[in-house]
Amino acid sequence: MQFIALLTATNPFTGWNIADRYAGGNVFTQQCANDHLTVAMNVAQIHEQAILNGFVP
Amino acid sequence: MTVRFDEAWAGAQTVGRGLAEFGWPTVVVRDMIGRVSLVLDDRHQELADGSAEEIAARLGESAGRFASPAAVLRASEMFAPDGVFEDRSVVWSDGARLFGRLERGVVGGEWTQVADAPPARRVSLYGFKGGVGRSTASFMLARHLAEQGRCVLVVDLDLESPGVGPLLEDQDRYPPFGIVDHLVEAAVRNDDGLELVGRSTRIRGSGNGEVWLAPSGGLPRAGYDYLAKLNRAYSSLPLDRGSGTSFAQRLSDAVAATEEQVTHLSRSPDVVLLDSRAGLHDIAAVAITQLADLNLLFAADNRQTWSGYSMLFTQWRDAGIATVMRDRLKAVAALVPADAAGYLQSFRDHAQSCFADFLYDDATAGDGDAYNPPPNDVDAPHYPIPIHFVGELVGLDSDARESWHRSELVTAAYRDFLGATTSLICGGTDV
Repeated sequence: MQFIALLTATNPFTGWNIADRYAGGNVFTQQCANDHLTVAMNVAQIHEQAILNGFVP
Repeated sequence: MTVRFDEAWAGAQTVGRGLAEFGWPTVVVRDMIGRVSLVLDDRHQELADGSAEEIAARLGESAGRFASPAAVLRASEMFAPDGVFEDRSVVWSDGARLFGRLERGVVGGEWTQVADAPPARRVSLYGFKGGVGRSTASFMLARHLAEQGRCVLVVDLDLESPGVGPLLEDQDRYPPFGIVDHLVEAAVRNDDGLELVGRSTRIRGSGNGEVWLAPSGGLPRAGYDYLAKLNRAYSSLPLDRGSGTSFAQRLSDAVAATEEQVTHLSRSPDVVLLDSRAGLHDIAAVAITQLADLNLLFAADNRQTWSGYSMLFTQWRDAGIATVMRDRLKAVAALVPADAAGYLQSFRDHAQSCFADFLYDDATAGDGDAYNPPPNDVDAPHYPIPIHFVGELVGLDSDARESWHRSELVTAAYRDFLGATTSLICGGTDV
């Protein structure tokens, strides 16, 4: 259910390009990094719960 | 040796309790297909190298094929350990919260989620087995309360087999929408403006009295697909990012909406009767543990009924809510045969035994505070209110015989029930 909520929300990584990982620390803001980290943690937590619930084969 | 479902759960708990005894808070989790994991909190006391593997091996021996692929999870290595340790569904074995059990990904979890103080005006009518006259009793009670000038709302929560709705009102006069409509419309925040209640034209209370019906489905009409809604009624919903609305909350919202509509159209209901469905179903679980302040438990005196109630009471005992729940229960002896005295004594004995095994305190000598009333204690939850069997109600067609409830036999059969329940609900002595 939480996955569905994530999937139906606006993609929090919109505006992020794969090449951005080579970008220097001076071209993105702390806020931007924090936002991405929060969402990534959320995904990891939901995945952890899904394993415990038996939804992951 | 093959380890079966029940043995796996017991074995996993033994391993978990062992860890808790050494000071590691441990929750044993059972997933949607019955596999077990141990989640142990090593944030305050480190686990020695190799211990996790050793615990996983022991769990593997104890749970066999029901051991989860993720057999042991350590809080220090998890992203969100509090998702387990702070889950409201964990049943802790004691106040120190060292050992707990958690059922995940299943229906039925609502049976142990007791509400602290449900509204006093709400009464659920429930029978473990169907066909015991529960809906008829709901009708009779609503009529009786209205005759005393009260405003009564009856909510038909037996969504799979609606019963009390057709008794209270001709289906052609139903409001346009029912409980299932609220469940599906509220899911997309579209529930404003739903007409969910109608005043019963079959019951005219004396003076101020009135009976309102919130049927499970709305007025039957072309294009109105009840089944399609029912099939979507029980799910929990993802509404906001990372959170959701449980089925219990959705049902609670639907019942509250019907109460608000009666209040708006007439006045605040004095009594709300929830005609719950039979069996170990989530609808019944929510109605009994979270929505109602008084639950009338219908039973016939036979082995399968007491065996069913034992299953239900076991959950309450194991969840530590026996004391809260027993205060909200009253047994109803349904279908009492002509030899009432002998039947009711047997009922009292069996009911007392069933309640005492799971819900009453252990009565040890010298413990004056222990609650363990004897079979013939009139005020005890197990002591039944009788409804006598009436042959003419079998297979009743209430549309064809609208005056069925005024027959002498029916009036006599329900007299004790109506008097006793009215006293319980409204206080004082019923007249």
